[in-house]
Amino acid sequence: MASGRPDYYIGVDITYQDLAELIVRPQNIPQIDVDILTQTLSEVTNRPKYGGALLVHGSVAVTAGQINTLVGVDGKGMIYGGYVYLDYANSQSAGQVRMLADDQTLNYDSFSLLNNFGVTEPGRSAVFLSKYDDTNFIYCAGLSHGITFETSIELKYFENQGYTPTVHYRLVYALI
Amino acid sequence: MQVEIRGIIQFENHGHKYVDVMVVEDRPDNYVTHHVGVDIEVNRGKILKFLASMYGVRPGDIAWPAHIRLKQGDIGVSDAL
Repeated sequence: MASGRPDYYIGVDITYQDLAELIVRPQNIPQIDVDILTQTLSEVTNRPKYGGALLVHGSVAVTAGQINTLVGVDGKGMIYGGYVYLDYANSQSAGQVRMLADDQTLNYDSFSLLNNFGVTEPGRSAVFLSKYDDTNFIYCAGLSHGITFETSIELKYFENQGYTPTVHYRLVYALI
Repeated sequence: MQVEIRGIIQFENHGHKYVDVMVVEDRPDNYVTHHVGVDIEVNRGKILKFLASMYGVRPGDIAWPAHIRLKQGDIGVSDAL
């Protein structure tokens, strides 16, 4: 009758082993706080987490007397720039290029108002005037850099003079 | 592969309505834009089905962040399922 301790009870004395490597894994891994101020890093890179710049562009034959949507982006990100322009056969001085961020309209200014008060510099308004020629009916509105949005950004054109111009747009943006 | 939607772009160009979807593959890098629909009504289910077939995963495996929302608009996208 076999006696003695069964084989599976035999312990292993690791001090007598000839191991290529010995891996010791602690039962409970302690939480180690890292103090970056004491690190000897040559530099620390800190950058906004935006994806690459993107362009969306197109041309829309707008409906007279209505607010026409040119482009809409659902997401979270930032405007880098862009512009909306038209070259028509009739006056569009009362036309409005509107930018909506998160469904909030950021401007209601017509081309003529922007021209009358000299709103021609980026940053003074979400939409600023870039070209105003009410003789040849050429208009252009720029889009300011740095407009952020959490859920959506839209470009719209309000035509309120009874015509159907073709409105061209270019929007440069980035998403998170 | 983990796929997450980062943006939905709806725009009109020369009388045609487009819907693009930007996704990020294997976060945090590699943003990719896909053309989902032209002159067709696109909704959440169609976008998920399109991406699922493209990436060979189930529609439920596509991450849809809470801040991305489709709203009834005049450029090709309906929130109706």
